[in-house]
Formats: sequence, structure tokens, C-alpha cells
Amino acid sequence: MSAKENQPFYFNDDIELNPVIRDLVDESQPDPELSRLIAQSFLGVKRDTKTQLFIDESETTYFVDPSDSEPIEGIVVKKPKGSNELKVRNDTLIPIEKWEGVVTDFSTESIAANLISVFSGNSTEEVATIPLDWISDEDREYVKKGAVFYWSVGFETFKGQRKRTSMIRFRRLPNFSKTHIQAKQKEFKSKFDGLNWK
Amino acid sequence: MNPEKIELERLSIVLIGSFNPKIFHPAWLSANGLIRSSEAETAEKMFIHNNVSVFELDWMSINVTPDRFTINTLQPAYYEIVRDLVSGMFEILEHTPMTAMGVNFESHYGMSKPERLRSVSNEIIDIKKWESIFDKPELNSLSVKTSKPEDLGYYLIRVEESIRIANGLYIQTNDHTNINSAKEMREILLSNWKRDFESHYIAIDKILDTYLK
Amino acid sequence: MACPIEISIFGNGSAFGESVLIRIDSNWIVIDSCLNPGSSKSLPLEYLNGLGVDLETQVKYLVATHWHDDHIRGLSQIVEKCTTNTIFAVSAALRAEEFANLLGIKNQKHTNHTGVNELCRIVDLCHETRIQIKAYQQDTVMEKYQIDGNNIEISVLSPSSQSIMQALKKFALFNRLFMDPNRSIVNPSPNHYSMVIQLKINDEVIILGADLENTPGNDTGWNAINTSKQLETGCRTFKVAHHGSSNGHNDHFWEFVLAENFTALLTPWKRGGRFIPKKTDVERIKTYTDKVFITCDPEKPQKNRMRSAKTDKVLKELEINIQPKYLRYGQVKLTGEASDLDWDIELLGTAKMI
Repeated sequence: MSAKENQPFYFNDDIELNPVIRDLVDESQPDPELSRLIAQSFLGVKRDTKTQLFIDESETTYFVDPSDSEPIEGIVVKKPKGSNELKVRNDTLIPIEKWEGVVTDFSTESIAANLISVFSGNSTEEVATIPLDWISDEDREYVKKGAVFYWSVGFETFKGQRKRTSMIRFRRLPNFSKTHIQAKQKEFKSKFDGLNWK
Repeated sequence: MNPEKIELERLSIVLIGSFNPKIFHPAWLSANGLIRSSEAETAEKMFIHNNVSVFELDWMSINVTPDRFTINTLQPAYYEIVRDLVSGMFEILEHTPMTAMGVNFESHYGMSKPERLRSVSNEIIDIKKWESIFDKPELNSLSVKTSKPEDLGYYLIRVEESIRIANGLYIQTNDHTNINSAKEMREILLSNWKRDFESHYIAIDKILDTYLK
Repeated sequence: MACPIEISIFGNGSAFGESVLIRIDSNWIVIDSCLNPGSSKSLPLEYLNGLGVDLETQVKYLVATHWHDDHIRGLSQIVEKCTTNTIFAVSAALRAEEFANLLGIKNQKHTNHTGVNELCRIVDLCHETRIQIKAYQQDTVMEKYQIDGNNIEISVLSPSSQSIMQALKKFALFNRLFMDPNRSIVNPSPNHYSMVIQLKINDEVIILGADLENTPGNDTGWNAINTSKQLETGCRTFKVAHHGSSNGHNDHFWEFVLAENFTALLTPWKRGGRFIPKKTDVERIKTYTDKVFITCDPEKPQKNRMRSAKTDKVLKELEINIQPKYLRYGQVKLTGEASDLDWDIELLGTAKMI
């Protein structure tokens, strides 16, 4: 990386600073702590680096000033161009089919599941056997009878190559305490008892 | 069948209320079992300051300020997972004050030819009528709204030419609901989900059917 | 004077779901619900709407025989249309605290799969509509009246009090097992707290066996029915219990309670690789009667027409084996006149005689 002395080096103008942070900065006077945090979070600059904040008339620019001998790095914060601006990710999976599944049985090799298609828009079930090694190691502990998962099958574009792919992810709900669950039960029970029982 | 297709999509769920941004940390999500621990460790663009929390995982990004919570995903495969995450977070933070929720689906619909895009954008604003006012009128942004009964909120559709993809039509559907509590937010989010999701794609089909001459 | 009677049994082609409708004159009893796989609407509701039945005034009873998915899907759609004129009849096991607690844990709308969601939705709607709810057990008479000189009696043969006790123990066990919020309840036995209903029209006896199973004890399941004070012999129309499975069969009941060559009605059930009735089940049933009607033929799946051929191709290339989806459904429709019940049988959709 090289840059002329005292000229902002536009680190990567693809980095569009989140509007939330931009607003925060606009309201403040130059704040070294804030610049340091931004530099750290978005430029990967080391913790002890000195930073300086600079506000331009048209755009807001942050400078990172590591030392006299090294080039100045910066990040240009652009105002959002319009409401429909989205950034494309390379590894986005575009599903052609998506199911919500529930595990009905499993072995050391595979899981058996009932599936409801999210795309077909109806509640008819399908059934599938899925090899266990399609499931991420970090989700293995969720493989139990009755566990709910989401399964997308489609295409992923990676480095210009389009390839077929499939993604399974188990549902994660909060780990609640027993007291919390009992409170929920109690709340439900009073509704249940309040029905028009004859 | 149209040769056109959706090239880019996003779901965002926006909550208006009173939040403590500092809570919203990847490590907190993982400690509560809501995301994988490896995801918490590799969160990017993390910025947690006094009144702001911002971070990204591969499949979503979160922004929280004291009055607004926003979660986005550009990955349609993760829509339900993002929904469950929001529900899970506010099942834990069930006493968070909340006044409104917006569930937004956005699609950038790639048209095969510039003429086809022009045709939809001209038709949708009835361009002839604007030619007496402007020399060369063109669609900038059109939004149409319908209110829900009893001040419950509104549905909104916004149509623009895409600034992200070439020859693209941008369509956003927004289900805005006025709410009173986190509990109500979760109930509405979960029970209206299927309808919100389906009506976005139905809206795209109907717009194209009606205006693509 | 005419008093038309109809018994219709519905089942969808995915071999998942059962519902029975009974018409007595202009009133209806809806027993369980299943979905039309094409529209996701409750099949009995669609049928009643098609006939122009006013649910608010003409549905006297709505019955949930037990809480399994294949019997309660779409039931909430019916509850939504009913008012305080209708009595929602449930097995007494479902009135218990153990059951409420179980629903309390699983009261979340995240998943489309479990019948528990449907039940929680039903509880919400019962709250709104203030529909009357009654819990029933063995030997209760639901209704006994005369219409145009015809004697009508509707009574409950099951669950026995012992079956209810066993169900409650099971619910308590589920309470512990399914505390984990990420698990929904699958394959929730037992079936022997199911409500079995007997309908007597003059001397004609009709028994609807729900999913009641046979159990070793004398005071549970089908053995308990054999000792029921309300039980009438000579039953000529029987909704075969538990999709014709061998564990729904009780020798004494089939030998001594069912009439010779009775009309057998059944729906199939399928999940994963398991399917009932099995071939041996059909053979067994056929040793008792020639008149066996099923809502769909288990051996002829319909291809999934909702998904494009292109998608199917990709799934195949990824070696994803999805079993075909079924989009059709069947109805076995029995109609007659109360004073002289001799069924006219119509087979609609996928329904057939075995």
C-alpha cells in the first residue's frame, strides 16, 4: 500500500460504513476513541494505533495515522445512494427449493425427516433420508427426534462459478431455565382453564 | 414463462422501541445457543460502542441503536433462520418496550432487455400523463400504501428501477405493524410470516403481469 | 317423513390424515380434520362450505378424538367458524393439567410440523369464539333424541378411566422429554385415550373407531370397550380403528360386536417407510367382510406437480431422494334414510373398494 503524504488513502471504497455509525459520527466532534474503534473494526488496524477523525464537506473521511513514517490510511464513508442499494455477496445460495424439516429418526449415518416445502406454499409432507455428513459438526448436537431444521437446495456463485449446493441448518431457540419454562406453563394453563369448559 | 428472474433479495426486520445496544453482541447470541459459537468468533465489522451495536455474520447483519433494532439478510436460504433469531432474542428480552415492527422483503428483478424494464416503469406511472409536466419523465420511486384497520399499521409496496443490477426492477414490500410489546411482536412475526413472504412474490408477479406489455 | 343420514370419511392422498362427517337430518357432527393437500384447507370444512352448510347453526358437535397431527390438521379452521352453538368434544385426557403443561411448553408458532401448534391455535380460537368445550370418557351419552319418529343416540365408548390415567403418565413423561425447546413432539403414542363414538339410529349401529389401539390390560383400549355399558352389538358400519393396523384389532370386538359382512371404512397412514394398512392387515380385514372401502390407494402415489422438472433434476443430481408428494384426496360417502338405513355408497377422488 502506498499513498502520498497527507493525502487520504482510500482504503477500499467498497467499504460503505453503516449509516448507523455514520450518523453517530456526524453528530460528534472529532473523537479519537471513536476513530480508533472504527479503524479497528473496519480496517483491521491494531489497537494501539493513533487515529484522527476528519470531516469533509461532502463526505466524511476517517484517517488512521499510525506514525509519521507510514502512509496515512483512511476510509471514505459514503452516504447511502438510495433505498434500494444492496451489496451482493459472492457466496449467496439462491435456493430453488426450501423445506422446513423435522427429524423423525436418525442413525450414525443418516437422518430420516418429514419435510414441508416453503416454496410450494402448502402443507403436504414429503419424506427424505439425509446423510449425516451433510450436517455441520456444530449442529450435530441438535440431531434428535423432533428437531426442526431448514434445508435449502440451489445454486451458489463462487468466483464466477455457479455450482449446485445444499444447506441444512437446525433451528436454535433460546436455552431457557426451568423456572422460565414453568412460568410459561402457568401462563398457558390459566388461559386453558379459562376456556368455556362445560 | 418470463425469462426474467430475481437476482438479488433481502429480508430486513426492523423494530422500533427501546433497546440497550450493548447487549446485542455475538457472544451473547452464542451463549444463549441462538447462533453457532464459531459464528460468534468470526463475526465481522463488529462495532460496539456506547449507543450502537453493529456486526455481521456470513448470513446476516445486525444494527442496534437505543430506538431501533435492524437485522438484514441477503441470503434467502436464511430467511426463516433470521426470523427465528429475532423471535429467540426477544423471547429472552421479553420485557423490551416496543412500538412498531416492519418486515421488509426486497427483490431486484433482472429484466432480459432494457426495453422490458422501460415498459414496466413507463406503464406503472402512466408516463404519458407526466409528459405535460416534464420533458423526459422517468420512474424514480413509486410507493403505494394500504392501511390496516384500527390503526394497526400498513402494507407498503415500493417500485423503483434498481441501482444495483442492470435492467433491474426493484420491488420492496413492507408490512408495518404497530405493537405494544416484545411478546406481541413475536406472535405477529411468527403468525404473519407465511403471508408476508408469499405476498411479496405475489406482488412481483402481479406487477409484472399488469404492467409488462 | 325424511331424515337423511350421511357418513363421509375423508383422507388425503399423502396417506396422512383422517376426518369423518356425520349428517343427521340438517345437523352435522365433524370428527377430526385433515387437509386438502392442494389448498391446505380443512377437507371437511371445504366439503361443508360446498354444501352451503351454516357452521354457526348446523354443526352440533366438533370432535377431536385425540391430538395426533393426522387427525387435527385444519381443525382450527373449523373452530374459527363455530360459535357457542357448537360443542367441542374432546377426550377427557385432554382436559388434564398434564396436557395443558405440555402445550404450555410447546406453545410456539415456529414450526409447521407438529400437531401441537394446531392445538395451541385451537386453544386461542376457543378463547375468542367462546365455543363450549366438553371432555368425554367411556359410557357417556352425548345426545339422545327423536327426530321425525327416529331414535337417535350418540354415545362415547372410549377412553376408559384407566386409559386416561395412562395417557396422563405419558404426558408427564413428555413434559420432561420435550422440555428442550428445539424439539417438537413426533410419534406421540399412546392412542388408547382416543374417543370412540357410537351412533345409534333406530336399531342401526355405527361405530367410529378413531385410532384406538389394543392393549394388554382389560380396562384399557379395545378390551375396555368390550365391557362398556353403552356398547351395542350387531354394528353394521365400522370406521376401522388405527388405519387397519394389527394393534387396532381386537378379536372379541371383531367376532362378537361387528355384524356379519359389515361395511368397513378406513384411511391409510404413512410416515417415512412405514405404511398402514399392510397387506396382511387388508387380508385380515377381508376375512370378516367383503365391503372394505379406503380413502386412497396406498400403492399409487401422485407426482408432485408443484415443483418444476428443472428443480427435480437438480435434486436428482445432488442425489437428494425426496419421495413424491401426493396432491389428491378421497372421500367415501355413505348416504341413507334414517327409517331404513341401507347405504348408497359413493367413492370420490382417490377412494376405492379394496
